[in-house]
Amino acid sequence: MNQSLQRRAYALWALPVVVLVLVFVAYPLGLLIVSSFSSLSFSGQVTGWAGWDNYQALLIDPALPNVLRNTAGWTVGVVAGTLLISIGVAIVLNENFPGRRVVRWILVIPWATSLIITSLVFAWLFDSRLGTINVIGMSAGILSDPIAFLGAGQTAKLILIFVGIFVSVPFTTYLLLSGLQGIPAEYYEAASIDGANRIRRFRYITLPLLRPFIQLAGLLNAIYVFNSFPIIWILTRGGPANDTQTIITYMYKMAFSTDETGKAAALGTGGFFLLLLLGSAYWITLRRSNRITG
Amino acid sequence: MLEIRNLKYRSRLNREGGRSRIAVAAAIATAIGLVVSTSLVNASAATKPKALAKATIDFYMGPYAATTDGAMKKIINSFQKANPNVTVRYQTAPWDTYDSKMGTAAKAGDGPGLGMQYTYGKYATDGLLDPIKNWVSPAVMKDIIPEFLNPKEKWVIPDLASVRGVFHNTAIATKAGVTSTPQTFDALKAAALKIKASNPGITPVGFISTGDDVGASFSYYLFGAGGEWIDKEGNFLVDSTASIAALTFLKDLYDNKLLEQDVTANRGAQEERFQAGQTAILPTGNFFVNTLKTNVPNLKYKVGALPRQSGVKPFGVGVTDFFVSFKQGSKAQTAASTALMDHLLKPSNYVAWLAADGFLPITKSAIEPYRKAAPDMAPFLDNLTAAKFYPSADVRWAKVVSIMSESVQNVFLGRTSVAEGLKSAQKQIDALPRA
Repeated sequence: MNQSLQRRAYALWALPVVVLVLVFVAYPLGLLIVSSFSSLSFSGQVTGWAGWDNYQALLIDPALPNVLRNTAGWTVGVVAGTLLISIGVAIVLNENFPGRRVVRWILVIPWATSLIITSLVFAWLFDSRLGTINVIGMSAGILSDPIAFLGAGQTAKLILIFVGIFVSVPFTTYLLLSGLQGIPAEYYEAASIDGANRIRRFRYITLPLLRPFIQLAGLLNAIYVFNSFPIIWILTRGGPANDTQTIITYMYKMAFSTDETGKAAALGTGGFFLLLLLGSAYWITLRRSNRITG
Repeated sequence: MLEIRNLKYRSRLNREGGRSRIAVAAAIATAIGLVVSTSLVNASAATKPKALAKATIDFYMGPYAATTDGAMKKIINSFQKANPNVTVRYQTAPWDTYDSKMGTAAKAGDGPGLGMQYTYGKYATDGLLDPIKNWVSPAVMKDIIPEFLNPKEKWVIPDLASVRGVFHNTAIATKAGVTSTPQTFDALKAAALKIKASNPGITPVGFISTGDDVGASFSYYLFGAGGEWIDKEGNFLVDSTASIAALTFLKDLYDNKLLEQDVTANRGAQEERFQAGQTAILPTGNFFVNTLKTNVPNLKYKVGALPRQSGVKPFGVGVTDFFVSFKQGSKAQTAASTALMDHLLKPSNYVAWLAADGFLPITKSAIEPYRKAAPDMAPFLDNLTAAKFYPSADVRWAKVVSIMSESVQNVFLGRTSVAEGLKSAQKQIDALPRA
């Protein structure tokens, strides 16, 4: 097939994805950006051009610093925790042991289950009166008063991060597992012959060869977690008192609960460009460091 | 009486003699018969309503209770049977997305011909609503209980009402030695202390500080302290003396673990806790009676008045939502909306719906039938017209509620004092655009 025909064939294969991205990503994003500069009535109708007014109103919102801090804490907490646990689980699942296949299948369950169902299960587990933990604790005499797990800022944050890690570990584990399975066994054999113990083999063979996969998993998880909505909304709705409010949940609250559509659009636009900037900076830094280390 | 004026005809009849007289008599009889039957037809046409022109309208109703959907479908089916030219598209959504669903449709020019709405101010400001003079029939206007009619209101009529009362678990109260429902703030605290001492692990008093119900919950104590949400000029009064007194009382209960400790527990969660016997006293709406009857029929409880500070007159807190009609594309659609409104508020339909859902009527014609259909609601019905309402129709209300929820939660969690918390809330609310 000549080159021009080949290029046309590639273009045709890519066309459906391009159309989908244009229609379901680029167009809504364009509308979001335009809305952020528009004057919007209480019911969301465009009434004129607002310039930077929505952004100014957002910057003086007393909740904004907390929202940004929470977003950073939530994203870093879930991603770091997920990577640490997934590396360990992937290494275990890479070994041959009885029941390995069953364990691998069970690991899929949190990933396959709808986020909403998983969030509801944890909401019931941690409910401050009728939740399983409080009911068992009170019945067993361990607790004299039930604990408002989701009603206190610090415990609510920890629980949200735990649930975020719980649902992220399966995907990340499988990604890392595919990386581990690509490492030739001869490297470990040679290292064993040279006297390297498990820790040295992990540090000097596994980690460096797994690095591209860890970096990819880190970036993908950061994007998913930054944009995550159901876990926080179902468990805490961003409360108590905005303690667990992130960019995405605050944007939703402003757009649909408090009729501040212009500010919500400004926050959404800001969040998008922030993620794009951080993601690009991360990827460029990784590529540079990968080139340096070879 | 038909007169024969044609002279020529008369002279010919005279010439024909007897046979002509019979013919004349027959003609007169026929004429009389025609006149009479025409009058009868006209009379029956006057009592039978004119068939509605062909139209399709959307009808929105919120999910008030598990029985709402069935009740609405029954009403719509009977309406469509009586008006085969009209198609009613029934729409509903969970409360979380109800307003945004209606708003999205309205922005696309597909606002409902008739719908229930709880935050209509923004749609009125944006010119999307049809004034009530165009779609509410005179019969319905006359039937609405006068206390629910605001002469200055142009856009909405109320759809139903709920009145708040204080539900007391009598088993828990009896064990604690609390024999009567507390009428004052001091009596409420005293009762809560007794309940805490004798029922460890149980929340003495429920309080909802989440956005879904903090407006009503705070109203109980704000009005109980003699305060108001808003003055005549439309200024919110959240840092008034009464407001500070109300929140100070609540903070005191919270700090002594006499009030619900989980500030993220919404109304649904706290109602479940009352049903599970985990909360002893819970102010909520009369609709809770039906919930208790269905879910925990053996739970013994009493409903008392909302407590108040000494010197404050007894009061009730009422909540209404509203019927709205968005501007429609044709007179036929508006006429269909009017007819559906009339049909829905007919006592036979209205009472059946409200009795099942556990809400109160706002029309005079429905009061007595409702009293017979829902005898449990009698105490609430008697307090209906004395109830005070919070300003839910104000365009700022959604944001006010959000600000109050954060402020109350911050005060409870000890992050700010009552005075500072309310001062900060007042400052944010004063900066909100009015329309």
